[in-house]
Amino acid sequence: MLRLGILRTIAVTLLALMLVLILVIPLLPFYDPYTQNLGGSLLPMGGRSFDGKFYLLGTDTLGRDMLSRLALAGQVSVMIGLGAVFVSLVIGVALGLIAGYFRGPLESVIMGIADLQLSIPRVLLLIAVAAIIGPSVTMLALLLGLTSWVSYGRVARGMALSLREREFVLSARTQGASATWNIRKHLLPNVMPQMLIVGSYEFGQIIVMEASLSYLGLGVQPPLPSWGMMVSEGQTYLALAPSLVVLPSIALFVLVAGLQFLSQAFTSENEVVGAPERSKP
Amino acid sequence: MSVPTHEAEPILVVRNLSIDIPKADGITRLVDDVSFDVRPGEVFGIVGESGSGKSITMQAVLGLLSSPLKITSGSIKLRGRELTDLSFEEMRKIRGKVMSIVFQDPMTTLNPVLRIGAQIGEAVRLHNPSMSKQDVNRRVLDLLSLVGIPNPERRARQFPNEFSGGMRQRVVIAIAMANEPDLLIADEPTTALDVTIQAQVMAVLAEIRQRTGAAMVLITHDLGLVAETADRMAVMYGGRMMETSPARTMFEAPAHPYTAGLIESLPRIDRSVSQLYSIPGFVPDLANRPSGCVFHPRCAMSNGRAPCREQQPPLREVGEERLSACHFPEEVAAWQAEQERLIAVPDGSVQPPAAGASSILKVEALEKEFKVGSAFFGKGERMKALRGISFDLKQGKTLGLVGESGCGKSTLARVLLRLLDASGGNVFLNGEPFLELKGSRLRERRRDLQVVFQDPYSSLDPRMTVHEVIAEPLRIQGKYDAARIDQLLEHVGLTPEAGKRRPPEFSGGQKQRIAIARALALNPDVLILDEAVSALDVSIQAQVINLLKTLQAELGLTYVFISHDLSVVRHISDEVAVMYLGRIVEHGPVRRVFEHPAHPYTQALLSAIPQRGHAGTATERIILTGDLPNPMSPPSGCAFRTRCFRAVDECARVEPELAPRTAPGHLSACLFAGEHGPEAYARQRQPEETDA
Repeated sequence: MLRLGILRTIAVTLLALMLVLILVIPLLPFYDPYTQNLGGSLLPMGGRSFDGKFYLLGTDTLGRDMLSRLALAGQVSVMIGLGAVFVSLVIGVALGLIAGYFRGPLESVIMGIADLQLSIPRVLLLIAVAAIIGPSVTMLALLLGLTSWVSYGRVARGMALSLREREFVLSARTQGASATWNIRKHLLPNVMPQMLIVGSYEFGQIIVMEASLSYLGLGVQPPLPSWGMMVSEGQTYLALAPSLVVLPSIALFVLVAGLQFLSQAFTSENEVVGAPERSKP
Repeated sequence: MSVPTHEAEPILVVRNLSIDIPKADGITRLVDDVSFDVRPGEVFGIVGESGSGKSITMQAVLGLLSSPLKITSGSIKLRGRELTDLSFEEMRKIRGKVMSIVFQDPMTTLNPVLRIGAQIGEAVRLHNPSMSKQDVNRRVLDLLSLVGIPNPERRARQFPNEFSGGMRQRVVIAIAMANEPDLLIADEPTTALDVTIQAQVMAVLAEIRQRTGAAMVLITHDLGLVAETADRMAVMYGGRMMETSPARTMFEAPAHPYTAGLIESLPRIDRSVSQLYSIPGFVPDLANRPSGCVFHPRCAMSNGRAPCREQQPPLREVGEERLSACHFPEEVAAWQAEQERLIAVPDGSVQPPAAGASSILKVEALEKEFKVGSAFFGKGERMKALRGISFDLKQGKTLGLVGESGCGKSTLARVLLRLLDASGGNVFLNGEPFLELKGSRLRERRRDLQVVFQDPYSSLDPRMTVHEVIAEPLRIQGKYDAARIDQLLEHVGLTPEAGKRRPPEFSGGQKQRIAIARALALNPDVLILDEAVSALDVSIQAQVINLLKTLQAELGLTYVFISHDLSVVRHISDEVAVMYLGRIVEHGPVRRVFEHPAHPYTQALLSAIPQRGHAGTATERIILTGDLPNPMSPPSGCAFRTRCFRAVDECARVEPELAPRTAPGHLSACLFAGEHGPEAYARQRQPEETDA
């Protein structure tokens, strides 16, 4: 009980910190994340430019305010993460439930696709697509979503396999319920808690993935900032201004760690779900 | 059964034992002031429904209580040594050496990745660390032969998954007996086993005890088993001891209204009764234990009298060797006699089936084959799960289907419900060929045939409200009507308010009522009850059985009642079909089959059931040897011949037809159909043990 409480407290604290960064900071009268101030480039944290402006977290190579850029980059990351999680969850749950409920050839085909999917290196696929279509935020979210449905699909199929034999599903079938009815009314509500756990875990993974791609220049394109891209831009000045690399890394760490802890906390709370609630005296 | 020596010092003395569990809203007392003795060499039965505290009490004796459960007061003395204040290390030396336990489920008690020999050897070595390897091995083989496992050398090298359920439980017993303990605690040792296997395991236990002189505490919910096996027994309810008395007299003259109520709730294997007594209400919530006598709110004799409500009755002597925790134990006998009179069926009042009754469910030569093995690799073998099943069920009647696990009775239910496709044969529902229906026509007709499953926990979607659960069939058929749902809830004895809550808030019996309400929502003609009362406690089981009988009378329902419990089948059915390895081996009117069974298998089943006053010794009853054969390669000829005490060479060549052999309307599939009592069985040579 106590352990679970600690886990959740950490998760909530970290995520609250992030919420402040990406939602509250942009509302406050800080500097515009795009405005360059070449007279005040590479300022350290708490530094003042020659024109007397105060920068809480310093500035980057072009003299742009680090705090505002971190906040904006956070928004971009979260948007991409949410979009990708949504896309993959919908695809994964749909395919997983269909495979698990109908079994037979349909299941073989869907799970075959899943195996193929896992055998294609995701980064190479993304490089190819980005090279052909050209990178954009929407495309990134879509692509990350399309390539990460397998974890949802696997879990959903596994649960569907046991749920379809549960007696409330059998009894609905004897009452004349169609497959659509059973999947919608019985399977979906029962797999959703687990799917959200997978989702909160995948969310973190996707954000790390997005950062890596942006670091490689395949993700978010300038002038829109992204944490990965900020690391990439800052590494040239690592000795001179380490905060350019350290700050976005910390932001990334805080968000992803918060999400992982949250998913852990969900998991422990949901362990009993689906298990028979029988108790032996 | 050894004669307990009354004078001897008790081996186990439990005094004023109380066990608490701290909860968020205070402390709940699970076991309250329980005292009892176990004497050397005797079998002491503890009976109670779920939540009575019987298992926790014995876990405390073994020092196996897991936190947060805690012994708050009382003493447990084993051979005069106080156990409650022993350290873990000291307790470890006692467990397995002086006393040991046999758990309920042999599937989970054994470690699946260790060989059987190694697991028994472990138990031997734990208390004899200096024993040489050869000696340990010799002891393991001794133990395996002791519990009647053939080919011990070969079997010791096998893994648990190569053993059947009954054989595994023998291994568990071998482990428990490894160090010849003085006290063996058996917690529902045969509940997970079939009745013929149960008889084997109980015989093994009796033999071992005779040889080692160990005393045994038998914890069970099965009154019949206790009555037959135990020397003395105790009845627990709501964490308290209600009664202790000699097992032989408990049935004839219970000294507590709860015991009497339980006895009257039991369906009888030996005679028909018009209806069962059912203890009203539910097992109490221990967090709010009723004041005074814990049983008084459900007691038929209390009538709200002040002492019952206000004073907790102490466990006091009411006769020789008999203790009762009731204020008015002398009234029990009169109440029980009155009940016996009320439920008796006058002779000849059973009507023969009306000649004109219309056939509602007709099954002709139904077959079901499963393909076993991978579709891609390997040959893929076929398993015949159902072979030539035929019967014709009339409107308003109940067909009881009995047989041990693996006989195909649940497969039959699923094929009838079209949850599985038949491999051959026909089913006519109201004269219409049900197996040929397709698409929307099938979905529409399915409403005529509904089902109630065994497990009340998995048959209701935990995420729906009860209202939604019962509404589902109506919504599927597009006929939602809120008033109808309230009416259904009232039909099964629940209030419309219950509809707002969710299934996990209800007890097992209530859940089963909800499942019945859902099955009735579409006004079916036939209800398939697949072990529908098997998971329920005795007193709750009687309530549900009475409900089913009432509903049948009111609504003219036809039941297919599937159960492994022959007493319940006898009580509820008009005709009964006995299945073995996918075939019906005997079929006839219920009284005829139970009173004059024609097939040796039916005779063995009936004989294996522990019951009151039976007190059977091994020579008086039929104990089948061996396990169910592998259905993938059934024996040639009669499938039962490998376990049959009547089998001759001809049985291997000819498969007997199901035909009237002993009386018109009473079908059986045996070349030697007719009555073979235990005497006939005793005359036969014992067939050699077959290991599955």
